[in-house]
Amino acid sequence: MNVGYAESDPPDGPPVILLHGWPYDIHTYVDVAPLLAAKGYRVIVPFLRGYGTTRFLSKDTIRNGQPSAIAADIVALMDALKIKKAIIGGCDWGARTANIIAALWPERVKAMVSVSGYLIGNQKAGKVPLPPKAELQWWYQFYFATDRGREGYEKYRRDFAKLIWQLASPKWNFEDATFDRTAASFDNPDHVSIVIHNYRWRLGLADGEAKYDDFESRLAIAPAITVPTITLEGDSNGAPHPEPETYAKKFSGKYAHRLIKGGIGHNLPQEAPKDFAQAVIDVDRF
Amino acid sequence: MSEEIDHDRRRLLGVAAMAAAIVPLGLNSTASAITSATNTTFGPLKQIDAAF
Repeated sequence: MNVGYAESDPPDGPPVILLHGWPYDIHTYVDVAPLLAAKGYRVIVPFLRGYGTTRFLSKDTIRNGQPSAIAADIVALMDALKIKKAIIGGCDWGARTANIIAALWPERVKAMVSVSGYLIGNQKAGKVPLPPKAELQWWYQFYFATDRGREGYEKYRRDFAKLIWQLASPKWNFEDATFDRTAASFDNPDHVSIVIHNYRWRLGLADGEAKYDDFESRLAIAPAITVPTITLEGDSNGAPHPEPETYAKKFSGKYAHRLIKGGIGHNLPQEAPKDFAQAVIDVDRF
Repeated sequence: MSEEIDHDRRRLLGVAAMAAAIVPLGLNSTASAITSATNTTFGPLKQIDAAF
């Protein structure tokens, strides 16, 4: 993988790695990064596989979107950048990725900020039906399970992503230029394949790669996360998300949860950058 | 577009500069970093080879 990333000075500051979700990109943290850089942190914001300037090095590599593969990418990025340990923050896919890294490689995570809490899942759990209202929130996952859905996302990916932004953050009045800045990342040649595979894998409709089987088996027991953690939730998150009381006990280290008020939706770091940055600063002091 | 990138140049330099990195967890990582694009909001974007 050739990973594209933004990096804020100072280069010798304590490293913070911030991970975006779908359908978002590094600009989720565009207003968080300077706040942390001003406090002396070295802030690294990578494009996940399938987004922005991140590229597979071989056309023959499986376009695998399974969560543990994305997490392994970030650990490999840390190795490449010679970062032994970092504060890791995430939102949406990025929060799940941060959770997985903290669970499987706790020695690489000094502390974590996770929007919407504990998001580690597995294929067995993903096959269990939910009550109808809960299933309704995952409408796009069912759409992506069909050939029509893949073709639809390929054809209308920007319209699709904008609809998700509107549904997930119903009180966020983002400008077209703000959306367009991020939507350019969806032109990545592997974007559709990675997104479709991710959601199909979650439902057990697509296989993963054997090299990640050990990771998945360790994640399947929903392991506790031991690193210091602050979880965040917006008061207007329109995307499906667990209630904080359902996951608080998954964090066995020093832990706090914060509800961010003011009409804050799913893309919390971009909608409330000061609150997210403050959580990073605070969890570093835990 | 603010994130346009010269991929050919990047790949050439990326392959030429490829070097072994620390592998503390058994992940087979290789690394080569160059500044390869500009972003109007983040400033220069970087690229690095990082393989599992």
